[in-house]
Amino acid sequence: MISTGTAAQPEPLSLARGEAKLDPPAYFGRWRSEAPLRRILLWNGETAWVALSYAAVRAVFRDGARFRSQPATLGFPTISQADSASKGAALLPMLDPPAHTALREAVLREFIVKRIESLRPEAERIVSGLLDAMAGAAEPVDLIAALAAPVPAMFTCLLLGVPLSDAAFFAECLDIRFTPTSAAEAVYGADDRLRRYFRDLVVARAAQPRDDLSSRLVTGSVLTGKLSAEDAAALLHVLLIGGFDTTKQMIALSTVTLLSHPQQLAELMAAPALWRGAVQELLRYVCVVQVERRACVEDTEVCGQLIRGGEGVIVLLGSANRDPDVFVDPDRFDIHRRDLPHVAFGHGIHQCLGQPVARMLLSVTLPVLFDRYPGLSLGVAVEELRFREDRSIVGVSELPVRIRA
Amino acid sequence: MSRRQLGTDRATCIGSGNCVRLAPTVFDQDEDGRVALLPDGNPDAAAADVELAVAGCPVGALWWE
Repeated sequence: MISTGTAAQPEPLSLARGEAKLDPPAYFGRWRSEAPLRRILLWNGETAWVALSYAAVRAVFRDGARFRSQPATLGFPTISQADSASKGAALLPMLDPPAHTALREAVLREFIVKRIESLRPEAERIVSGLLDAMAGAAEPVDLIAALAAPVPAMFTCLLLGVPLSDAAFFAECLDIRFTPTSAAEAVYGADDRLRRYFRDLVVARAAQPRDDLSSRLVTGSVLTGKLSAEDAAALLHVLLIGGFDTTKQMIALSTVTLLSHPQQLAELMAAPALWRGAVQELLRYVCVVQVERRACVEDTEVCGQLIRGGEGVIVLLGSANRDPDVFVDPDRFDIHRRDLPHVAFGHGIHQCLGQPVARMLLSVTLPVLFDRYPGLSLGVAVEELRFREDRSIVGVSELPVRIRA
Repeated sequence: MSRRQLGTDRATCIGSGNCVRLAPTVFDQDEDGRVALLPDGNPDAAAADVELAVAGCPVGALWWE
């Protein structure tokens, strides 16, 4: 019998959410049940692989020697026109060793779990201040603008050792930079303002070091000749980007998730020790970063599938986090889960450097929010929330809530 | 009862802190951010946590066998 070939025709990848807004696109599950990896059609007519199962996703991430992060690598997949335009950027997540190793090393000690945990009181102060300011606001309150966006923005200022008021500047630039509909000129302009900001910061800290991350980076790496001033500035820039939209959307969508599971929220409020597991489960369930990319540089077998050198792989983290081979009843939100660790922060040498910050900010912000406003409710039904469908980071641009019962 | 030896590879460790979070009675980070075993840690007493930490290490820098 002659195959018509229609079944083998690669389908396009769309990140648009389905009916169940808190779940990844439903076809991820269908694809994953068919094979751990699958060939798909990219926006530009090229093909690439998607890694769907937990095992395949971890295998690709772990083999950094064969699956490269540098976007200039042959076969590196792009997911949109805008994405392909920014191929040249040499930011930390897009570097391979040894360049990656030296940069990560330069700030590694800043992200030691205990060091970040020791900053909890400062984070609490930021959150309380924002919640105080919300008290008199007219309803519905936009929780993104009032809380989810400023918490990571202000905490980043605190880490870098710059005035908290600079958070507004960061937000403005990054908003322009990452809005796909922004004009190219505006994107370059925003990027340039940030680049200049961090270049100036490195110069200022070199002249007059203080007790902050920026100063320690400058004195430990730039003044010792390990990193150029340019590299240090780019590193500070990427630390800002890495923790900004991701943490903002995690705070917002965690709030939505918890309000959608009132029984588990009540359990958490009665037993605060459960928050630790809840944060872990929120990260798995929400998984704001859905897409990572790699380029294969040498024929490699992954989960029984041969990937050729020069082929691209799109790693679907949200799919791995809902893999029934690893997570019992994967689409159920369950704060008591004790499955293997999720891959929301990635896996391998590029696993999120700022993850202790994200966990700490979530575990500070969420309990304080629900404690302060026990009558908190969504201003619109979950189904009505408008998810951004044009970005690789899942999110909503606004989150209307009522704070008074 | 267990004769399993807990091993760490500091050259491979990327300082993600996963092990410290999952099994805080056994793992620590040194001042560089890399994995260190707590001197009085007892992996057998926290076996489930240690197994999770070993399985979850993003770079396979831990083993217990």
